[in-house]
Amino acid sequence: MAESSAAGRARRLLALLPFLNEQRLVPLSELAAAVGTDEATVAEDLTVLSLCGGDERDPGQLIGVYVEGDTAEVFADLPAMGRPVRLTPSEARALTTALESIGVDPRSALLERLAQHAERGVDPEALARTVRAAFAQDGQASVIAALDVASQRGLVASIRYASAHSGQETVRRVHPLALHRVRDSWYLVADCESAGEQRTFRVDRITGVSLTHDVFERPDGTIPDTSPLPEFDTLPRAVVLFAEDGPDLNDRDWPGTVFERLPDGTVSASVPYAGSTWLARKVAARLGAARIVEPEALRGAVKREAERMLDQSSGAGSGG
Amino acid sequence: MVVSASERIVNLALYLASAVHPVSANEIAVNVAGYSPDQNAAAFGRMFERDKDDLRHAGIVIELDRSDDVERYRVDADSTFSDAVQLEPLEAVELRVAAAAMLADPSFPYPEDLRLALAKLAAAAADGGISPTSVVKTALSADEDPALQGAAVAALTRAVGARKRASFSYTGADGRASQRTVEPWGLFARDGRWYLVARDPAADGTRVFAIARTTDLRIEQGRPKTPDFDPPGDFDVRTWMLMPFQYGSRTSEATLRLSGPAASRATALVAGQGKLSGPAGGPFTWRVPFCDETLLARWIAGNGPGIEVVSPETLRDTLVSGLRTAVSLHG
Repeated sequence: MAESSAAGRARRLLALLPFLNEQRLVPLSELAAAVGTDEATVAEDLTVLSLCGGDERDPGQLIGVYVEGDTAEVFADLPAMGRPVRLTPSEARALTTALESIGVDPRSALLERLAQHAERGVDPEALARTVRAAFAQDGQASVIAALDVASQRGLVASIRYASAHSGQETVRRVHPLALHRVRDSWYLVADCESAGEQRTFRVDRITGVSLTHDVFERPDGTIPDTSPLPEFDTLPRAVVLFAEDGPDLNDRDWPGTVFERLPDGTVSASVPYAGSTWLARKVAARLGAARIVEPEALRGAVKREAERMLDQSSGAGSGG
Repeated sequence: MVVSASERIVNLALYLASAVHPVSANEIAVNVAGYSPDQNAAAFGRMFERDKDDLRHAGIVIELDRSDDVERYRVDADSTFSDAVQLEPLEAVELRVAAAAMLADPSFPYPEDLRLALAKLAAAAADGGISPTSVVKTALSADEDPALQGAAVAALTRAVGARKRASFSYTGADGRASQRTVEPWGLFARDGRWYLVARDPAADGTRVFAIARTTDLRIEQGRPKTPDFDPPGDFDVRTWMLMPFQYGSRTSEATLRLSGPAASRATALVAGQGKLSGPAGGPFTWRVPFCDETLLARWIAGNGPGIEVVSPETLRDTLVSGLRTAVSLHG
């Protein structure tokens, strides 16, 4: 069922054809970017295409392309196949899945419009009924797009950011440096003018973004490698005692944690933490089934976090 | 001169697309470089059928004309070719960023299809400005054996489409390994893992399998154009993307109120489950089925602030008493 290598190469060669339909000089880099490969591969593909034609009895039917250095010269109009070909169902699925990953809904106007360029009967929503990469998140795609534009153009962005702890929104001027996607979450690494240092922001907590006309320069002119995930070896650790074992006591839910299953059924865990808020909330959310043993300062943080949650919970609903 | 298979496929596309009238298999054998006039009819027939299939997979639709005694072929231009693509500037950026991220993601299952889709759109775009460039530095949607998960999902996607059975070894959450042969219905990604939803005939039920726990994946290869099974007509993989508190046999319904910061990321929080209602911008009312009250209470505490219990009363009691215990444990 998988495609043969000859068929795969033929698809790439056919994808190049619409770029060769008029006489012109075209940089190999442009063609390589268009078909998602490197210049050497494009040069090789063009050489193969220069031997292709519709009718082997008629040299005038050969594709008129010639590679010289880093440029392709198209010296004759393409005999056929000069128009863009519609997207196949598998190509439409790849686009739908990729766009889902930044939060675009399969029913969005963008995917509806792209579906018009697919084979008849291709429906992004129908594709999403069998493969789903992520859930749509209102507005996230436009926030990511705006941050990417700001970063590439070196424009200062003004963001509204909701604190994970208090939920309060603050407005910050940031210099967007890089975007990261890890598991289901997007992160922005930016120099924050308000904080005076580099910070990592969760994109799903950015509730609005606008670009200013102010420009910034990247500290070293490059995209920083800063990972949104902490280096566990360098972090302080807390000892947490869980009242009982459970399927969620694993490295995925508690990254970098070392668990020790004790004879009485409890579980002692050494948990690395970058900020007390994260761990305090996580322990408080166990609703009494977990307790910080040390450090002492974190115990106070959990108590305050649980009290804050209690205030909110006690005041809600009809039975408040 | 030796003509490679890929050259022959391109030659066939050019010949069919430039033909003024539908052409016969005999004309193709004689005129298209790569087919040998010395080939016997059966060998030519097999090669031609394979090449037509390959063109079909590239999006080139070949029409069969049976208006006289001879079968003739031509490219169905309306079904094959597209018009210019018009994208809003922000949409073009969204497409660029999404493509750049997924092409950098070793767990993305469809990189070649995505590259070819972008090439087609670039050829059709008025300004051509959709090459995948962005400041995305890391993309790791699935973080356990990402390349293996991506390859398995690609193979299973083809099995879902062709309705072919899949076999694999599976290590369950309890550590026990078993051999499974299943009917793959759908795939979804959540929290860094891809999952397969499939009917397991041996268990006589539908199961969800973590792709990272599968090994030795094989897709049924026999009779590739004949489906092995029919999934339910109304199957939607989203209904299987349950939240941790939704697994179990007894289901109740909770009503929660999402306001403030929870409202601003409500669609992400509810992850397609239950029914979200309310004015644009919130606050929202979320009615959601649940099976495990304690896990739902923990979810509320872990994802606030801005999530409040409206009903049932027992859920609020579980949340409040649990928080009081947490306070006393840390007092």
